[in-house]
Order: sequence, then structure tokens, then C-alpha cells
Amino acid sequence: MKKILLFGQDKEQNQVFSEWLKGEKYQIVTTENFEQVFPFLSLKKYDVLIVDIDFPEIMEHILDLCRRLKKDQKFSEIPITVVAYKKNNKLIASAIEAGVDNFILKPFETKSFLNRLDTIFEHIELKSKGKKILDLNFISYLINLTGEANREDFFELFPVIFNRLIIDKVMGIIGKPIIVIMLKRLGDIIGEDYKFVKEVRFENGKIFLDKVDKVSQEVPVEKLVIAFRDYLHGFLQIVLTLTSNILMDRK
Amino acid sequence: MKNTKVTSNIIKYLDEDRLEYLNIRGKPLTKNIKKTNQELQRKLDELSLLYESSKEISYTLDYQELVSIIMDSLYKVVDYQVCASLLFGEEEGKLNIRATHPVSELFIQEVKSKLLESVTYITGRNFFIEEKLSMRIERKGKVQSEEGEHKEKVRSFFNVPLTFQDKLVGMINVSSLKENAFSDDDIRIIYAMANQASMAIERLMTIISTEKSKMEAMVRSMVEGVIMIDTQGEVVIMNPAAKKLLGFNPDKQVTSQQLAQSFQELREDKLFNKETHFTEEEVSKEIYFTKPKPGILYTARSLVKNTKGEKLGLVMTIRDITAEKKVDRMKTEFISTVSHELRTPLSITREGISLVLDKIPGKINKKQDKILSMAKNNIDRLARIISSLLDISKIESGKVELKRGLVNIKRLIEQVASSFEPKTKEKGLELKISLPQEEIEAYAEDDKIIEVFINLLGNALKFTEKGYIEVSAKELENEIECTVKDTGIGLATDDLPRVFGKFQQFGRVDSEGEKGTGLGLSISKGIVEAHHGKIWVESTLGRGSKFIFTLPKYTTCKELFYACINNGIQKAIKMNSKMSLITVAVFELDQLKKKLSQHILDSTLKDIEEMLRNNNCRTGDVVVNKNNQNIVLLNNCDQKNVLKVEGRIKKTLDGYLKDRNLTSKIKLGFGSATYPDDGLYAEKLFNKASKGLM
Repeated sequence: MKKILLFGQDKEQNQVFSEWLKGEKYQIVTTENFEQVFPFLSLKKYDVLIVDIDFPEIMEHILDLCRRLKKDQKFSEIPITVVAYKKNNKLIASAIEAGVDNFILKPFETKSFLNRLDTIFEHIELKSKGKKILDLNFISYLINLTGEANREDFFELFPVIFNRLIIDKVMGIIGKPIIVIMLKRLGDIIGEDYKFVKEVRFENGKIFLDKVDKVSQEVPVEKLVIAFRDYLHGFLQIVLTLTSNILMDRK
Repeated sequence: MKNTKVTSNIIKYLDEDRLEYLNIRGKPLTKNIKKTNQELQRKLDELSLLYESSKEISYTLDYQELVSIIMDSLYKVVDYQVCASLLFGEEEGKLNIRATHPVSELFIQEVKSKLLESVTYITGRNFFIEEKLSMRIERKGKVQSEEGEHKEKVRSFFNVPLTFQDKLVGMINVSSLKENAFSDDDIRIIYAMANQASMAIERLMTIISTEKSKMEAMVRSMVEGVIMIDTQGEVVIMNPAAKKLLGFNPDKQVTSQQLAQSFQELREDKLFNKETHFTEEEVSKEIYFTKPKPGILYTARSLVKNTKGEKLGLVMTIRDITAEKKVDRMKTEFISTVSHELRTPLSITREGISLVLDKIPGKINKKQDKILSMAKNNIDRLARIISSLLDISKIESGKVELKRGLVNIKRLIEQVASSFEPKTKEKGLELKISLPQEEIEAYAEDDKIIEVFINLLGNALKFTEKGYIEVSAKELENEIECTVKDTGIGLATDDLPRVFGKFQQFGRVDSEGEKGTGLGLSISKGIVEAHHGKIWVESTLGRGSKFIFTLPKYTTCKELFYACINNGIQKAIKMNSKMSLITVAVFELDQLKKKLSQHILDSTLKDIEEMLRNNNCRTGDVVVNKNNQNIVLLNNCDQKNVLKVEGRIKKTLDGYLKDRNLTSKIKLGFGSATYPDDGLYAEKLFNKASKGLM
């Protein structure tokens, strides 16, 4: 039985979650007070921590908590799943930066919520076997989200997705020099159709899009999203050819 | 009851909770310690492995070798079934697959395609079809059953890139039959190793390139031309001065073909060629060129070797010595003119004194006689010096034209030695001659070689009071070596380098014989060098001296002819004229030996040679004879004229044979060729001229 700790300020919603997760598969503990999350985790071992983050007044505190947990050796292994509203791009970006492992994006129905949770547990399982998982489906989903967003949001969100959800995960395995080469190659291929991707800068293990922003002022955001989706997919495709130790979940 | 139950439940619950709490708080601690220990151990392993491999890596710059080192090191830490590498340069890829366990062909194919796929994705070069790929497979046994074959699959793999300067230069693949065969730690070690290898190479390359750029800057700024080629014949270094001297654009790269062609145009293609000249240590040579304007280059070439003595290539320095040579020639010409002008008044003076001494104008007293005799002797000496000076200036200006032919060195030595015998006997010295059994033949001018022997023997006689003088000759592998040795006063080591200089006289003793001019050895050196030979001296003060000179040896008929023809070509180049050659051969000599008596045959062959010599159109033309074939070299003679000469020779010889009733027995073959029309090289010219004779 999987033990889940769920935090959310909305008591009613917490009850809804508890109802959904009732059964033999999961054991759920809920709390409305985010200050209790830490003591709860210290007392008992949980398989996953689910945090509903959509509460503007305490949002920053919650993100702080996530950062603290990820930095603390005792808790860093506990996967954190964040529940957030899908249009809240800035929040998603900060959560990714804070190091959370998974997302469940609102609005959702029972079934999609449970499916998502299943996937998350599957990933946790595989991770414990030493595989790196790239949640491709979710990454694509996020990228598509950026398409609905404005230009500013895109340039904020895309580097975070690429850096934290992809590069950070594969860097340890495939090394920096090859990433440099791969990015250059992608710049060459994708750059044939979309010149601006050649301006992607790679420094200190991160990509920066500031130059792309400068040269692509005239380019509509939809086109940017298409180009960078190809860019990202191309990158993942090359990663796939490099090792069997990185898995891509396309579900 | 109920309460106690609750309490116990609570206690139980608390206990459980506390236990769990302890578990949670405690477990991570022990786990952490364990983990830290493991981490430390792993880091240590990693470090020692990295150190080991980096030590090996820093000694090598060769990627192929590097990959081998990495594969070997990997085997120590990672459990893999197949390790493969693909290295690629501009032109082709090298695929190396090494299986450490018996695996199926299918498995190997899968490894190959995984590796190629990855490289193709990253580089955009398709190694499946488009690119050249060489493959090497090392394997241990093979899976036998077919069922086994199909079961085998690459279940775990990773590809490790090798990079250099942000470019992919190769890829190493490690594959396993097992699921999840490689842990993160394995991968980290392998990547760390590959990265370190790449970095080590990059560092070394940087060091090398800075060193190289320093060196290049130095070479570039040199006034002398410098060229280096490697053992493959590729041009490694060629500075602007060299490019300029050889007529290339100084700003452009020169390929090995262009360089070879340039030397070919100078007719010195053998001078800087990977095939012919990786044997000799050092060679220097003067090259005459006509483009863009006539001049002379001094080239010195030597082998480049590393500390282990392995050959790395050839380096050549080139200097334009046209101006120096011009000054030198002016000097020589000046000496020549002056000597010439001195001769006439001198001979008139001598004639006058002789008349007085012969008492034709009237009587003279004894005192006058003595004074005049002394004057006459010194005039004679002066005349000798002048004539030697003339000789030397002729040799130095290259005006002396050797009338070369086949010379029997043994006979020549005996002849010279016999002329010295009376004088050596007079001085109480022994004259030894040591010669081998077999004949020694040299291609040389006999008078000149005799002059060398006379000079050397004269010196030996002059400086030796007791003991012996020994003349000897022998054939070495590539040359003929002649030696004149004495047991005289010898030379001081300090004087040795100056022995062959002009007007150098050492340890002079007042002897009764004529006084030396101080030019003998200088002349000898000129003569020997004109024959493409070398001369040197070995001596110990007080013990005696040994003068040695060499002449080139031509073992086969062809070698001899080529040498003659080359000689003619050189002259033609210098004079900017044409040159032709005629070959005259006697057919079927072996048959003739049976038909004719040895005496008739010999005299006929000798006559033919003589007639060729005598009926030549001009002096300066050369006739060389060997076996049954003669070559006539005609200076300044074009294709039209050579046919005329050939016709004339044919007519004369036919007439001669007819007179002696030999027309039916001896068949003569004729042929001709002209430089440069028929070819630029001896071989080509000779082949053309002897077409139909062989």
C-alpha cells in the first residue's frame, strides 16, 4: 500500500481527494496546515507528497518548503507532486525550479487524476531501479501550454522546462561536452527552417534564450513553440540513441 | 478494563509510533553512513582508475590507442558483453568491436547499428550507407544454437562520445545482454574517463599547437627556405622563403604533388623524394634553375629523427647562392685573366735569361751565371704557380670539361707508381702497391686522375724521410676508393681542415726538389669533386698521412650510360642548349664470339670505338664504350643534326666493315635521342636511343 501525504488549504477539496483515493491501493493522510507537513514527514515515511499550490497567499511558503525538502538529505528522496492550475505558467516554472518531481494540473477529473498518479508511482518504481525517466508526455503537455501563453511566458517557461526537466536529468549521464555538440547539431538542423534557434546559448549547464528573444521579435509565439518543440524532441531523440538507461515515458 | 485496553492500545500505538519514528530517524542515519562509505569507496575506485587511465592517456595522442586504453580500463569496472568503438576522420570511419563473452552475430549487428545510429544522429553523417567504414571484430566464441541467437538482445547499452574541441570524433559503445546492467555509477565513471581523455587530448593539442606556432613563427621568418616532409611524403613545413625560391605563391599551401613536380622541373626529383632518400643522413647539392631567371640554389638535406632514432621525415634548407656564385666566378675569372696576362711577359723574360745563360749574347762570369740561374729557377717556379692557378680557376669555374671514358685504375696506378720508383729509391723509401685481383674500372678522365695521383705521391715523397709510401685501390659497395699513405711527418690536427685550401703549406722542409706551389691538393680536390667523388685526409703528426679519395662506381652498363647522359644533360642545362646522343651497338655478341676469333673481334670493337672518337664532328663530344655498346654524346646538337651525324657514322662504319669483309658477320644497330625533345631524363633518352637495339 502506497502512503500519500496530501497538503491543501481547502478542506473540502482534501476530502474529495481522500474519497478518490480510498481503497486498497493507497493510504492517504491530509493536512490543511502547511506548517504540519514537515513534522508529518519526520514522523512517518511517505511514498509521495502531494502539494496543492494554488493558494496565492501562502504560495511562496509552499515553494520554500519544497526547496527545503529537496535540499535536506533526509527528505530529498521523497517525490513531490504539485497540483497547480494549468494556466499558471509562472507558478509552474517556479515549482520546476524549486525541484518538484511531478505535476498534476488542474482542472482534472477523477480518472485523469488517478491515471496521473499511477504514472507517477510507476516512475518512482523505475527510478528506484536506477533508471532516469523523462516524462515525455508531461513535457510535451507543458510545451503545449506555453503555446497558449504569451511571448514573455514562453521565454520564461521553456528554458526552465528544458534545463530542469531534461538537461539536469541527463547531464549526469551523458556529460556536458556531448550536450554542447548535440545542441549545435540541433541548431544546424532546426535552424534550417527556424533561424532563431541557432541563437540558443549554452552556459554552465543551462540553455539561455535571451539572444533568441532578441532576434525573433517578429516571429509569432506559435511559431516559436513549434520550433522549440522540434528542438526539444530532436534532443530527446538523440539522447535515446545514447543509452538505455534513460527512459522516455510517452504515455 | 476498557480503559486499560485503551491505554494499552495507546501504549501499543505509541510504541509502534515511536518505533516507527526511531526507524525513520534512525534508518536514514545508518543508511547515510553506509551510503557515505560506499560513496567514498566508489570515489576512491573512480579516482584510482582515472589516475591510471589518465597516466596512460597522457602518453598517447592517438585516438585509436586511446580507445584501446579506455576499453581495457572499462573492463575492470563495468560488466559488459560487447564494447565497440567508432572513430571517424574526414574520410572514413573505423569500427572496432570487441566481445568479451560468446555472443551471436545478431547481437553484434545490433551493437553496430546502435552505435552507428547514434553517430548518424549527432553528426549527420550517415555511416550506414554513405560513408566509408572499415571494421574489425574481436570475439570470444559464438553462440551455437539458433534459439540462443534469437534470445540475445541488447538489453542495456550506452554510447560514450569522444569529443575534441566541441566536435565529435568518436563514440564508444558498451552493451550487455542483461537488463539494467549499468548503474549510474558505472556510467559516471565511463563518462568521466571519456571526458578526461578528451580533455587530456585537448590540453596536449594546445601545448603542441603553441609549441608548433612558436616554431612556425621562427621558421617563417627565416631567410633560408625550409621544407620538411614526413615519411609519407606529405609536406609538413614549408616556409614562405622556400615557396618563393621554388616559385610558389608564399601565401598558399603547397601540396606534396606540387613540391614533387617542382623538383622534377629542376631535374632533381630524386633529391627530395620519400622513396629514394630516406637512407642517407645528409646530402648537400647545388641546383641550377632557369625560372624565373637563371640562378643557383644551395640545398642541404638531412633526416629528421626522434629521440628513439626513428625516422620522422626529411628536412631541407634552400639558399639562393646566385649572387655569391657570381662573385666567386668573377674572382676566378680575374685570377684566370691575370695569370694568363702574366704568362707572356714571364716567358719572354725567361727566354731572355736563357739566352744570356746560353752565352749567346756574349760571355758571362761565374757570379753572373749563378745569379741568372737563380732568377731562371724562380721564373720557372712562378710559371708553375701561374699554370696551377689557371688549372684551379678552370676547375672552379666549371669550365674544365672532363673527357671521361672507362679507366682501368689498376693499370693507371701501376703506371704512375713506376714513374715515382727512381725517386723513392733515391731517398731510400719503399714504394708499396696494393691492388685487388679483379679489375677496377672507373668512368673518369685518365689524365686528371693521374694528376691527382702525382700530386698525392709527390707530397708523400716530399714529406717522408724514412719508411714507405703505399698506393692502393679497392672497390667498395658504391664507390672506388684510392689511398696514398706515407710514414712521413704527418699533419697537426688543427691543420687538417685547411689542407685542401689554396696556398696552404705545412711543415715545409727545404728539400732539393722543386718548391711546391701550395696548389696541388687544392687542384686534386677540384678534380675529384668534378668526378662526383670525395677526398679527405687522415693523419697523425709525426706518424704519417693517409690521403683517400673516392670515385663513383658504376656496376652495370646502364648505370654507366645513365651517368654519362646525366652529365650531358647537366651541361646542356647550364649552357641552355640541346643535347643529343647516338647509340651504336654490335648485335649478338655471343654468337660473334663463336664465329670470329677473339683477336679479330676485340680489334674490331676497339676500332669501332676509336672511329667513333676520331670521326666525331667536334671536340667536347664524348664517346663511352661498355661491352658491345657505344654512346656518343653530342653537345648543342638538335634532332635534325643528330640524324645527319648518325648517318655519317653509319656510313663510315659500314665502309670499315666492308673493307674488312665483315659486313655479313657483324651487324650494327644505331639509335638516337635528343634532350629535351625526347625526354628530360637519362633513362628515357637512353631507352629511346636503344629502342630496337635490345
